Amino acid sequence: MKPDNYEMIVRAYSADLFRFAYWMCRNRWQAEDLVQETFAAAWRARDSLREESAAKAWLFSILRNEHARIYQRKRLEIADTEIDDIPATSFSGQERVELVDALNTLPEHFREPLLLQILGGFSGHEIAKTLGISEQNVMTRLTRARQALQRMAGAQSEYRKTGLS
Amino acid sequence: MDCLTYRRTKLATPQDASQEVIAHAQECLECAAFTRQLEAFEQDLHTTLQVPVSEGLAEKILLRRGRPRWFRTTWLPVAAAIVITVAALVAFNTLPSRDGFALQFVDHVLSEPNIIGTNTEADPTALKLAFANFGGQLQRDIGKVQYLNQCNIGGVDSTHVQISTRSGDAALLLRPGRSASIDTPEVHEGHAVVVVSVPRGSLAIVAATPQQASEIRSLVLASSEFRG
Repeated sequence: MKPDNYEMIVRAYSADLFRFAYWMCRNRWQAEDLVQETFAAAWRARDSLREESAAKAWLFSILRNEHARIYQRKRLEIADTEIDDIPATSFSGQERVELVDALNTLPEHFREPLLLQILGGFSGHEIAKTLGISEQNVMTRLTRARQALQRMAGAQSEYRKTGLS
Repeated sequence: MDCLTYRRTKLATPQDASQEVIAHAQECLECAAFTRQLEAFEQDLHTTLQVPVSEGLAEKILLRRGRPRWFRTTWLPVAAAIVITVAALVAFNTLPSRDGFALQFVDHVLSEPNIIGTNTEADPTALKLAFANFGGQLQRDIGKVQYLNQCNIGGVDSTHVQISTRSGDAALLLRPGRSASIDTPEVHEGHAVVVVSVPRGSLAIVAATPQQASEIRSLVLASSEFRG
């Protein structure tokens, strides 16, 4: 990877990676650190990237590995999301809090594929490759993740009314 | 496609717009309503996840390019330790490079050529007072004080004494602050200099030859006592 391409990749994907990292560790500073560490590792391993079209998936994989390395080895405390970090939505304040709480309590094996899909824009097939599970399993997890979010976000009674029982 | 499959498909991939999915939503009013609710939820979920990115993140990454964590976490403390060590050495006047320190005294003497050879007698009690100001007591006469004044040496207000001794003429320069000792005469610009460490700074003796400098040093040390 040439330095110019590296810069292009940093500018293209650092925001998506930051948001993914944020929802993995729920702390801005740790997320920033994680993204910086990801790109540093990517730069060091740049020769292993054969196709730059695969850079995005490659970076998300590195970030997942870094996250696992840092959080599992050092057992860093996972923080609660600061509600001020969350952009305004059509929800009321209480609904926002409930959705954020729901995201925070969503088990990682549900949250991770959901984040990869929404923030990474990956297909079920790509998520399956990243997580090392079957595509069917990814679809099941995505379905259950949204069901769980709707169930946990108490204010979403309308969603629950129409969701799967 | 049945309702259960449709809803599972939409929950897994809300953006799915395959013909089967579209066809079912057109046929089933309940699933169409489910889709509208899901799309509203999905929009709020997307918005919620879009937390603002730290300002200048890309620039920070590009600046750091390839440096591992240990570099960022280690170089700052190491640099800080170096700065603190140097500051401590300066503060405690123990910097090892004394050559420059001795040179400043010779430079000062050379900057005042009119003082050398002055044959006017200055107040001898002023020399005792100057020694006292540096923590010393002049116990015996060391020679004729020809000149005594406050001068700037290396940016520090110092006392410049021109004295005529039995070993020859010399400049005694009492500089507060850094306390250093140079026993072996250094020769700079045709002048020899030795430095005696005194309690409140340094006493430099600048003479014409190394021998004179050493002899006058011995005379000064034999005639005075420094405490502190």
